[in-house]
Amino acid sequence: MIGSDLASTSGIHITALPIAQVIPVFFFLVFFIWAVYTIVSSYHWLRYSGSMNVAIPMIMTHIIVSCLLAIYAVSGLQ
Amino acid sequence: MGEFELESGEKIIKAVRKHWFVLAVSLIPFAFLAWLPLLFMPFVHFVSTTLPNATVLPDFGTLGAGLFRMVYGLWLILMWSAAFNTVTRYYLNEWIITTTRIIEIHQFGFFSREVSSLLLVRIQDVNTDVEGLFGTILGYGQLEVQSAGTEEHFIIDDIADPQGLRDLIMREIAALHADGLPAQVAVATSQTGV
Repeated sequence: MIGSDLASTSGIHITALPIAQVIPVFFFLVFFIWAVYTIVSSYHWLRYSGSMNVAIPMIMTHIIVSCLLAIYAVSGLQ
Repeated sequence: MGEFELESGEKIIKAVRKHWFVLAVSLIPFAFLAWLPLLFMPFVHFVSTTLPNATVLPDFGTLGAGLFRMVYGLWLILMWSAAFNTVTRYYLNEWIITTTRIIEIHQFGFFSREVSSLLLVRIQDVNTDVEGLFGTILGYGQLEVQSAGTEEHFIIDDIADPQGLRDLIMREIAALHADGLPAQVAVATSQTGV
């Protein structure tokens, strides 16, 4: 009620976001950032951690948790 | 370790990192930020339902929980990546005590890494400082090494058992002097004039 009054009295016209077009771009952006980060982070773990026994499980944990969260996010599209 | 070469006869005694509690505390903001969208959910729902003809926010009321799940899932991925970055930096920062020197490996960020060494024979004094409730209970604190060189202070922050590490360093210094200086240390000391 308050919001509609505000919109009608102020004469502001704001169009709704085209969600169907925004979602793929948003997904791609997040995936791109995540992929670059994962590659850089993995390089540092493998190069500097000094132990593959630590680096590999850490990288795998990062990828698995990220994939689970991505599945959770994608499930919202249905 | 590809970042530094051990001299002949030099052995790694101990590698230390910051206390796990320091890592846990630094992860708290990410846990809070991950939870934050749930707090704003009622506000977003209120705005989207009260501005039916002029909405800039997705209407979670009519689009259902699916859209929220998608946005929140992506937000969680970003938060997880940020938290993982903190863990990475925690693990890649370390101090290595060898029989002849202390090596500090400092990871400032990605592609920004500094490795510095301090010879044990140049150490003049080692101080420990345990402060605060958690530091006292959990046994972490600061170790300050004072050297005779141009770099007067060599500070190791928030490490577990700083007193134990101080004793270890003092024992190694005593052993160096008892056994006589190894060749590489003697050369390094003569070059630096210490």
